Amino acid sequence: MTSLLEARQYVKQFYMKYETIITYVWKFFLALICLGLINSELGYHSTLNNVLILLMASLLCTILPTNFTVFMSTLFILGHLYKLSIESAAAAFIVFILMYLLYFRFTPKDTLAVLLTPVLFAFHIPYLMPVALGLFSTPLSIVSMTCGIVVYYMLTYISGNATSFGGSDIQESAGQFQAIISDTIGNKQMLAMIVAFAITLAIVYFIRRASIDHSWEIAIIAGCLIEILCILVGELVFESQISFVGVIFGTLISGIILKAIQFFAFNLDYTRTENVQFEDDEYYYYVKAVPKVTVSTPERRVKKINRSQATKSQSTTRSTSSDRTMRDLDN
Amino acid sequence: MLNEERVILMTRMAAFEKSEGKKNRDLNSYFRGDYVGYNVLKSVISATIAYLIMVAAYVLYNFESVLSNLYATDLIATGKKILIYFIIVVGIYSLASYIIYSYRYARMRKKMRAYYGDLKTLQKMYEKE
Repeated sequence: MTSLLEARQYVKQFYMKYETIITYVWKFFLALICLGLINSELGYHSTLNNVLILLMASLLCTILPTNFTVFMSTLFILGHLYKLSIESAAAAFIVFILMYLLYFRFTPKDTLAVLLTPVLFAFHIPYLMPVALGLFSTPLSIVSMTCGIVVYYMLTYISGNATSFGGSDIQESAGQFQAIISDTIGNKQMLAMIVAFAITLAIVYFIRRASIDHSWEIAIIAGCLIEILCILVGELVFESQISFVGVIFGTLISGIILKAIQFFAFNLDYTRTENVQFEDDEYYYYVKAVPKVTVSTPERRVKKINRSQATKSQSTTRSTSSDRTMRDLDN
Repeated sequence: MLNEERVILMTRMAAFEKSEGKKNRDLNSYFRGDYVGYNVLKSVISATIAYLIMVAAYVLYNFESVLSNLYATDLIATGKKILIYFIIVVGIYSLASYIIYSYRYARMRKKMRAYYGDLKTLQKMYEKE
């Protein structure tokens, strides 16, 4: 446990020191993974499949705001679908434009949830999403998450029925458009997922906000259990053919990942180092304001010596040093 | 001599300015009515576009039945129906955006008031010297 805490401290310090670079790296890989997934799942447009274009687009996403990654992903999806058939591109375009026009005008920051949900679906751990959003966001994110789920199922449907697209006359196209919309909306597995995820997110949020000890841990565990339960009920109600072993394993893995995130990143969101510049009549100030969490590191180093002392002179100093260790661990 | 208290205050203000200040300053340059009205107008426009797209999607979705019943339908009644739905959709959406943007403006004013309070404290510190 002690070495884990030290590891956390190390990670924290590392993050605070190289925050800018880490942000760029994480944005680059996020874009690369998203666009690469789109290419591997859809991949109808040979130009977009080009590795150089993929890298260039990812690099562009790295230097521009995160929302540009969402925009770029949308462009890639539409490009691929347009190559496949105009009606599938039209269906996707309508879904995207309605999302942007009606919802993301209000919460531009939430677009990341839309992007990450299909990505996690592709990695078979979408169960991570509702619990994570419940922990780090608000119940409003249900809408973004639902959008992400709809996008994923629509794209899966299109890529699964790719051969049936590409009609010549307008009536055939209209029929295909109708099939895409009605099969996506009527997808019972999707409905079950949306309902289960929405319930999970809301419950996790309320437990996390409750003023009880260990609310985060309780929220994660309860969230995972509720999620499994909801999907099971959804499976019974909608007969949605969800692999139940997959759900349990996926949720377990999600829970472990979340616990790791919580352990390492608990403070990172709230306390970040501020680099500010200002001046008054006499001075220029270049201030680096470091949050106080880091100050506790030297104390932790002392704790190591205490432990070795405790093992050497067992009877005399044991109680005091172990008390101190416990206190340090609590900190 | 460095005045430590003042540096702390200025750092806090600079950090606020850096993170939220810019956004809030843009917001603060509007009167409440102008800001909310401007955004509700944008909402009306985007809702109109969204509604038109939805109507188009509906037509495309029911392409065959629309096409075969084109001459049998009462165009004025259909037009009325479309218009009524349009007013309902845009009305609800505008109301929602009115509430959201009013709330945002109020929240911004509160933060700016705290910022101005800090400014005043800073001024007093200078006057004391």
